[in-house]
Amino acid sequence: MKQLALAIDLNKCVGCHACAVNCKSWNNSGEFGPLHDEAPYGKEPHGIWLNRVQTYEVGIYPDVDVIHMPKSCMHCIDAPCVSVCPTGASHKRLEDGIVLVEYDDCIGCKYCSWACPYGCRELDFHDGVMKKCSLCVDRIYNEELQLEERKPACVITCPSNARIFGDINDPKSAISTKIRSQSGYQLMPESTAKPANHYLPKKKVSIDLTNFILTIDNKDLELAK
Amino acid sequence: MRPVWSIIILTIFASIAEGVVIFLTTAEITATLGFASPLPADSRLITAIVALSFLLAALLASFFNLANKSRGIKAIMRWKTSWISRKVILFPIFSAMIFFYTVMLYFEIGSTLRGAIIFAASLTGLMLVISSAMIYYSIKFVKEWATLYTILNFIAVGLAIGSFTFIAILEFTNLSLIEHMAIIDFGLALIFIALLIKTGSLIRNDSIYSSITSKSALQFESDKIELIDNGAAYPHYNTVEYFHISGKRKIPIGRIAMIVLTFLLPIIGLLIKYYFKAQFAIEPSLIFSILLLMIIGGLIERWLFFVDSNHVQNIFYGNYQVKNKINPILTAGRDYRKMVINSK
Repeated sequence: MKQLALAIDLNKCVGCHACAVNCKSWNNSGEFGPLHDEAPYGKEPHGIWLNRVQTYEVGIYPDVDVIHMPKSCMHCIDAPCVSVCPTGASHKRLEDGIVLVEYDDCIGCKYCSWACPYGCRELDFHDGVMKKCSLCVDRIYNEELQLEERKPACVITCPSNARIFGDINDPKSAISTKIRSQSGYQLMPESTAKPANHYLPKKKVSIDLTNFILTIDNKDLELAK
Repeated sequence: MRPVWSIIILTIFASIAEGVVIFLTTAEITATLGFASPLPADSRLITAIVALSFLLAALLASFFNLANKSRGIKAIMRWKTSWISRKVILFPIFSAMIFFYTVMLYFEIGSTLRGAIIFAASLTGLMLVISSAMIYYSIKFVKEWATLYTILNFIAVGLAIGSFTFIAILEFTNLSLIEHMAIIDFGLALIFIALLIKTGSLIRNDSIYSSITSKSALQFESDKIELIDNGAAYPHYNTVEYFHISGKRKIPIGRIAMIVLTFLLPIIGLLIKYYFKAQFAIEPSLIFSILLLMIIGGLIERWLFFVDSNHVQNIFYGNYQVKNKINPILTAGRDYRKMVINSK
């Protein structure tokens, strides 16, 4: 069965938030309606973001690394949010494995978000429905767009090409190859939800700084005097 | 988790109604079988009306939980998989049974059928309370909820407050409870059992071991993982819904209030009134005051049920509380909480 998903290369992600902004931009104007904000230009802006980039500091000085981790719906293979939904609004598509919310059926009881171990659903208080990443289902099948543009908005915009989109069940796809060759992993595998989205782990990079340290010889010191 | 008042009122009031109905059914059955003298009709009628009132209040509260109230009826669609659906189906059936029982009692018709209805209602009510508990039990990502204690606690607290409500109603109808001491004994036993279950649940939740840590969830190669940026438009739904800082600070005082009001005060009240027969406890107002405090205690109990829980998705937002020292240090949670507390 086809399972569309994202793979995010943590080596390439520079934490620019372009994916989050373009996601917000597309989904504000796309078929799924606006993602409401409260005081977007105020002191404490609140709003719905289907993709959020979080930054972690990992390790103890001097062995420290900064990792930017974009996170959106994982489109889990055994999605726990689907089975608990009392109306059937949360559903997983058989044709491509995308987990979607039928807004016309959602009653806003929040139960799906309680069942999600990744915190990837957000309630739109204005519309009274739960919102989440749709993998830009209104883009990827949109025949009015050029073939190369039929990808999620976050993938199109990523300046460092850190996001790969495709069918993880197709062994020949670019995403499957990357996951296999770079030991792609899933977040919180203990959840047993089998998230479809993968992350390509950050490699340790060490730079020998001794070649870059400036030295001052005696001649320079005399000239300085 | 952030406590939701509509759910707190819904669950506790539905449980109390079930507790009251169980007592009413027991009184009906024991009287029919000749084990006890039958209760006066007005006592039974008022009991049924009180149970209906609790259910009506619970129904009203349930609507406030939905962000989209006009579509509430759609919640019955997925009864095969969702416990919310099952609860939504059982609630009106339970209420309708109590309603028909009340009407039949008022017009004094069909005593056998009436007995059958109240017996079926008590079973439906029990299924309703179990369905309510299963909603939380089946969320395996909140370890404080995914335990048998959740189901036992929902049933026991409902029965405990229900039993005391039943006794208060009998007091109100001037029934001499000295002739019905079995009701007092039964009520006391249920409150005591509920206290034991609650204590067991608190001890279990305080020593809970979570195998999921920030290291295992994020799979970064270090024990020290610190969240330094939470992304756009913070705080947002996921940080507000799953972490309640001001509530967490009130947990110790809340627990004491809950134990005293819901369990100890009613036990002491029943003992001094019916067993020691203290002079100052003759007035029925004592029982009504204790009942009011007991219901407040029940609301605090359900409030703590939410506030004390810890959803694993908090790991990603730096709010996960590690309760067991065996776990690797999760600096993200500690430091971030400090930061948020200071900023307030």
